[in-house]
Amino acid sequence: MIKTYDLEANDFTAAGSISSDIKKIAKSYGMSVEMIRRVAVACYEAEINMIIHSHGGQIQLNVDDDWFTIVFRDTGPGIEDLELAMQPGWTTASLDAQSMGFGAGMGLPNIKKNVDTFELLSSPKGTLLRIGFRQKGESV
Amino acid sequence: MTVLELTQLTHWTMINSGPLETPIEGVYVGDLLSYVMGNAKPQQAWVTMQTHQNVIAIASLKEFSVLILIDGNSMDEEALQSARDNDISILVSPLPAYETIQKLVQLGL
Repeated sequence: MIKTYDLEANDFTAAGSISSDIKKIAKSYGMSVEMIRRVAVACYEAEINMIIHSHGGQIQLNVDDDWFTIVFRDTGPGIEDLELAMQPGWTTASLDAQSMGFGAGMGLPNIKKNVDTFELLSSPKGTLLRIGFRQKGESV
Repeated sequence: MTVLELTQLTHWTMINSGPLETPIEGVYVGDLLSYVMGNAKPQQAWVTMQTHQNVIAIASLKEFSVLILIDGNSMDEEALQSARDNDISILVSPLPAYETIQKLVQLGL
């Protein structure tokens, strides 16, 4: 099963709606409560990252017998320093976003903590984040 | 303690009502949303000064029992509509954060 969502930059009002839909799909596949919670946290953080930092892009969910995989692909401007971006507490979010409680610098660390596989590639043309959850087993 | 019992004991204003018999399993306090996402547990009451619509998305994704706004803060109509759509209970405490939490501790949460 493959499902693709379009995501607009700076659309804070819709933020979380794609994650909610993916969470519902995870439930419909009979995933454990714990795994559904991990999917929800990781998806939400990645969705918010795209809204705050990117020019917009697409989110694609891919489910097969073994894996629940989500790919977040945006059209730029890219993450300048991936190592710094993974560091808890480091942020480039605007003051406006920070005043709303976003941009704590915990997004990528939160994602990594909750997934089974994590792949992050970035250039000025765009960022690709691929996260995977094993359908069987609770490995995190 | 259930959401209904907390409402009755505090007399705080309920500006949206979700499932009132949901038990409250502790409290999480926080305004930085990633800390809330990363550290809070399902069925907790979430105390926050954030009032924008995205708070509802988090309350729903994290499956909180109730959202508690402090300082008499309310939410705009868009956020309230989202709370209605997602069945999220919201209480408004007239007290600042510290006193709100003191009250919750006094009640055994």
